[in-house]
Order: sequence, then C-alpha cells, then structure tokens
Amino acid sequence: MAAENTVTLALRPTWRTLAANFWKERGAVIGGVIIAFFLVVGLLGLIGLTPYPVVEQHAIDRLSAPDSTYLFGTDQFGRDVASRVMKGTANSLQVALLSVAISTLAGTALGSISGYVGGLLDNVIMRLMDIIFAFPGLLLALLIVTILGPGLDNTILAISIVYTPIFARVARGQVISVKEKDYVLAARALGKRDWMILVRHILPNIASVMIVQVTLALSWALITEAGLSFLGLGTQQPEPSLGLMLSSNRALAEIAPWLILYPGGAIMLMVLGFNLLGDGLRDLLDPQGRGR
Amino acid sequence: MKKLTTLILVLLVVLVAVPFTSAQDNTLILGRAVDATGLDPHTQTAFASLRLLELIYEPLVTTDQDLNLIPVLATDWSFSDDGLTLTFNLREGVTFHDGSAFTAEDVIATFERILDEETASAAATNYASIESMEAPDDLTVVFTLSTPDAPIVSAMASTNAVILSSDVIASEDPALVTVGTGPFMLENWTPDDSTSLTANPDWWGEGPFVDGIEIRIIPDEASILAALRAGTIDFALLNDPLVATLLIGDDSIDLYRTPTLSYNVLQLRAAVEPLDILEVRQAISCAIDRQEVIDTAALGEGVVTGPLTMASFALPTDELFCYEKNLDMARELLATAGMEDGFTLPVIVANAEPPTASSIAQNIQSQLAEIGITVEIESLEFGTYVDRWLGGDFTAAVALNGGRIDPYTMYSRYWQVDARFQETAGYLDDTLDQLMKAGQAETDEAARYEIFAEFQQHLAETSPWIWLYSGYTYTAAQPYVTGWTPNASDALYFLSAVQVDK
Repeated sequence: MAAENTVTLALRPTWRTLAANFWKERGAVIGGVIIAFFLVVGLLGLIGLTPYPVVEQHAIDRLSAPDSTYLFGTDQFGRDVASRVMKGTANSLQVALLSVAISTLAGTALGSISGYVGGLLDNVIMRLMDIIFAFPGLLLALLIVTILGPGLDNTILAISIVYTPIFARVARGQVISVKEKDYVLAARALGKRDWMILVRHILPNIASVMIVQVTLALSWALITEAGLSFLGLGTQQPEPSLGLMLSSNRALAEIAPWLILYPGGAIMLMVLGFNLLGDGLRDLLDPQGRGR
Repeated sequence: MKKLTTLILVLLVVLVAVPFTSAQDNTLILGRAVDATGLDPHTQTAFASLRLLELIYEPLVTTDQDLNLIPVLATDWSFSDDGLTLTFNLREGVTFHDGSAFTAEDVIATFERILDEETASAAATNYASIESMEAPDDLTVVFTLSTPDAPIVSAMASTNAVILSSDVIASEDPALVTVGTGPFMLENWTPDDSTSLTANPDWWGEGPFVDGIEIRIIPDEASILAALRAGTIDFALLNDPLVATLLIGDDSIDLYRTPTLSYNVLQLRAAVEPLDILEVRQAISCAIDRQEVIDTAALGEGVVTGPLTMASFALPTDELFCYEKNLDMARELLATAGMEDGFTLPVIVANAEPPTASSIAQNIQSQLAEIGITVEIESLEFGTYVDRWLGGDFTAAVALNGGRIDPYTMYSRYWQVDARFQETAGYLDDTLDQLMKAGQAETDEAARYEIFAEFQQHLAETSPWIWLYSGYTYTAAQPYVTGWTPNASDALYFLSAVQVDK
C-alpha cells in the first residue's frame, strides 16, 4: 500500500513540468488557442468594440450578404451579424464561465466536505446530488428557467445547479482517495484543524482533476446556454446570443445562410476548443495516462 | 412456448389493425402550427380555434371570396321598413351531425345562449340590439331589435355566431360535444397533436369531395414547409411570411396569398401614464415609419393600414394623422407634453403568435429610440400574453387583431361604452362612442361611409393605438389538391369544395 502511494506521488506532475509538457500536447494547444481567440473576440464584444452597435438597425441594408461593409452580412433588420456574433460570443462565454465557476465552487465544497466528513452528512449531500444528477441536463435547466422566468441571470443559475452534482461527485471521490494519505494523516497528527487540512493539503492535490472537469463542463454549459436561448428562455431579444440568433433566423437560412453559418460556427468552434483543451489537460494530468 | 404464442398473437393484431389505422388516400392531410384552444364556438377568440370550428359548424350567413354576404343556413333575409324587425328564412332539409333536423328553434336557442351573460360569448356585443326572437314556423325566425342595427347581419357571418343544436344547448356542454351542421364531423381531437374529421355524408351543400381531413399540428412553420416539400402533407396553413415567401417561385407547391382583414397594431393603453397625454401618443405615431416595420418584420409582405382594413370603408392612409414619419414633429409633441427627455415604455409581445410579433416589437424599439423612448420588450408565452391582454394588464402591446367586413362589428368590442374589451382598449372618448352608435343605426351606405371616415380620422389623431399594417395569410397545397379558393376572412369552410387526386 505504502509502496504504491510512493509510486503514484512520484508520477504526479508538478505545476512546472505541467507547463512545459502543455506545449507538447498538440490538442490542448489548439484548443487553448481557439479559446483564447474567442475570449478576445468576446471581450471586444463586451466592451463595445464592434464594427457597429449590436442593436443598431440599418433598414435599407437589410439581409445583405457578407461584403466589405458588413463582414458577416446583416439580418432582417439590417443589424450587423459580425457585431452580433461578437456580443453573442461574449454573452455565451459569460454565462458559461460564470455558471461553471459557481458549480465548481459549490460542487467542490459540497463534494469535499461530503467525502472528508463521511457518514450521514455524506449520505444526505450525495443523495441530494444524485437526485439532481438523475435529470438530463437540458431538461432540468429548462424546468428551472421555466419556474424562475427567462433571462441571463436565471440561465446562469439554472446551468450552475445542473452542473453542481458532477463536481461534487468528482471532488468527493478525489477527497476520499487522498484523505488517508500519509501527509494528511501527518497533518492531522500535528493537530491541524479539519478545514485547514481540507484547504491546505487536500484541495491542492485534487485541483488538477477539477481543472479537467472545469474545461469539459464549460463546453457543456455553452451548449446548454445555446439550447436555452434557442428555445427562447435564455438571452432575450434584441440582445444577441448565439443560440437565439440560430432560432430567430432559422426560417431565413435558405435565403440568407450567413445568418446561421457564423453564430453556428462560433458555437461549434468554442465547444471544440474547450473539448480539445479538456482532453489535452486530462492526458497531461492523468498519472495513469503518462508515457503512452 | 407461451411467449411465442403471445408474440404471434400480437403480430396478428398489428397486421390486422394497420390497414384500418393508416390514412385513406382520399383524406386531406392538413398541417398547421397552432392547435385550437377549445371547442365552444361561441367563446373561442383564437384564430387557431376558429380555423377548426368553421369546418364543423355553420352560421346563418358567411362571406365569399369578395367579402359579399352569402347565405348558408339562412336562404334569405329582410329588414322591415323601420329597421326594427329582421326576418330570416331558413334552409330546408338541413340536419345536425346527430341526425336531428335543423329548425328555427335551434337558431333561437343559439342566440339566447350567445346573449346569456353566463356564456361569456366573444361576440355578444354585436347582437346586443336583439330584443326578442320568435319562430312563426319551423323555417322562419323573426328578430325584433331595440334599435335599427344595420351591421347585425354581417356580424352573423362569424364562427362566434354558428348555430348549435338546441338539444345540445339544453343538456350538454358545447365545449365537449361538437354537433354542428357543417361539411365535416369531428371524430377525434388530440390537443396539440392531431385532429380527425370525417366528411358529413348528409351535408346539404355540394361536397365534401374528400373522405375527411386529418389536421396535424407541426409547431414549427419551417417544418411544415419541409413536410410539404417531402409530400407528407397535402395542404398547409402558414402565418410566417419569412417561411411562406420561400415558396414563391417554387413550382412544385401551389402558394395562395390572401390579403387579410386582420391588422398588426401597437396598442397603447391611454389609461397608463404617460400614455394618458395625447401628445405622447401622437409622438409615438409620428415617430414610426410603418413601411419600415413591414420591410423588416415581414420582409415587405403587407400593406400599411389605418384602423379600417376593408376596402369599402378604408380611407387612404395619407388622409390620416402622421402616417408619414416625422421626427421633428414627434420631438415637438414630446416637448409639449414635457417629456422631451423621453421615457421607458414596456411593451408585451407573444413570443411566437403571430410569428412576426417579436420582430415588429424590435423594429419599433429601434425606431422609438430615435426620439428618446426606451422600449422594454417583454416576451410572453402565448397563453400568458392572452390573459394579460384580456385583463388589460399591460402598458403597450404588439397585437394581431381580427378584422370584420363591417367597421361597427370590427370595433364594437373596443370603442364604445360597456364594450367587452374596453379595459384592453384602454381608451374611450365621447366622440368615439357617438360615432360607433351612429354607425350602427345608420342604414344609408353613403352616410355610413362618412361616419366611419370621421371615425378613422379621429382614432388616428387621438392615437390610442398605432395601427401598423395588414399582412397576408398563406395557404399552400400540393398541385393535386384542386378547387381551393382562399378567403380574406381566412375561412377554411371552403375546404368542402376541395378535391384530392393523388
């Protein structure tokens, strides 16, 4: 048992080797570049550095195909699609990042307390998580948004709730696997308080696994946000969101394909980016997967 | 062994059942996006409900393609010289779907039900002048009116005034039991899924020429279009101009585009601040380029309209107040009202019914921003929207309201004292009320035209609502569907003349 632990610990990469190895993991690099690109685009959209104001209507130029004036064309109101894709990207990323941040915090806290304390509390928390987890993600998100009403804040809340259990589960499993390790026992023998042990000794050791989970959850959150907006329950018109652009323009796809192509492409690329990054990080951080 | 026997039995049942459940070749398969919300023809207001009920029930009179009154269950009618007695001769040999004969008694029971406040009938206001009814014989009905009421006959050309069987009224709930006289009989209604109708073999008219109609609810109009192109449906009702216009130039599907009497409107409730100020409402009217609304929201599919949409009464829009966008005037008016800094205007809109509503709201939002009015769009699910609309629980609303061939009938529920939807209209003044009353009583055509010309000008000038445009309704059919004549009052009644030859 002890020997096994030593082996595992020796193989666990340090943050420094991780950074060095990252550049060798091609998928992760590509994913990272894609995400970085969209973060910049989204940021520009957020601070309003778009070619045109996102809700400005140029009725005369409605439904014009992509050209030098309107890079991605215009919609039926003559609104610039490029600007709307930029702001839509910002809105989508904002929802994804915020909701995953909330579910990471909540899930990790619940899961690690559950795993560390054990017993009845563990049972209560995890069964509660199981109940949430039993619902398909989009369905539960739909239910929550229907009850709370549509809008950006409620979408964030809904997605946070939906993805909390997965973080709780992962965190709990990890905490259980490290809480009997020698360094934890040592810390406990030294009389450190439980919460200090959790925060100082356990959390840093499960962080790498959580990071992989975060990147994967970001791609799901993006898709869920797009789905909710597509159904009219997320971002509300005239504020753009990628999913909403798809649903409100799908009737026009035949005569104005650019209305679907660009927002759809943006969603696809961002999800691809997060998945590549997540997969790459997993390979990088998973001790068992080293040296393939 | 037991399992095997069960399996064989099940297979046998399926094999035997399949030929009976599959639709017969001569059934018209109709696709549409929205289903009926109920079956009581006297209380339903949703277009979607009327489209189903007009296949099953018949009124005394209806309108043809050119909006002329034509007889249905009545063969002819006449007013007495003083205009206080209206006599209908009824059609002979008509039977209800349950086999009972149609007589004057059914007409009287029907109008008693419509006028009964407990029924909460949608159109009761239109028949309020009926004082008493009697039946000298089985095929004659005499209405005695309290006041001359010129538009009452055209008001009866409505699905809200179809004749029910007196037996059903007496002992059943018409919301559950559908016994009409119409060309089709309701066989099965699965809400939001499908409806089966069978042809009425004893129908008095010529037809129907199909065995029945199967209505399929396909919630997305783009999917209806796909179903048409794939040949899985024969006939379709389309509301979304963005979808329907894709069929222009498509030779494999016949598209019928019909102007409608219904109108898209921005309803302002003058009961709410700051819309109670005349100049504020007028400023909104002057700031909106109505043609731009059509161009953006409906891809140009519509015509700018004033309050009246029927050609026989509608004034040219350039004779109406501020139908030309005038931003300077709009700003001046706002300044007069002391609102030069603008204000926030909450507007409710149904999220998909009609499909253009949200786009209309977005274009208005953009246009009103030019004079500093911030439009806050509240997008509601259709049911919630209707509840708030009926209750007058809104400041402004983008709406699609139905039109009628007579101006009095069209607006009696909004613009007069005690009108059923007065709360929804949110505005009334003495001039409006008097004009409506005069228009109801006047029988001379030219004089009525003058009254309703003033009515339109008054409404446009006081701007309680901002009338925008009239669109089209679209029906689309496979080339093998023949004999269809679309009707401006949207009536599917004439599906009785359609033939299917696959």
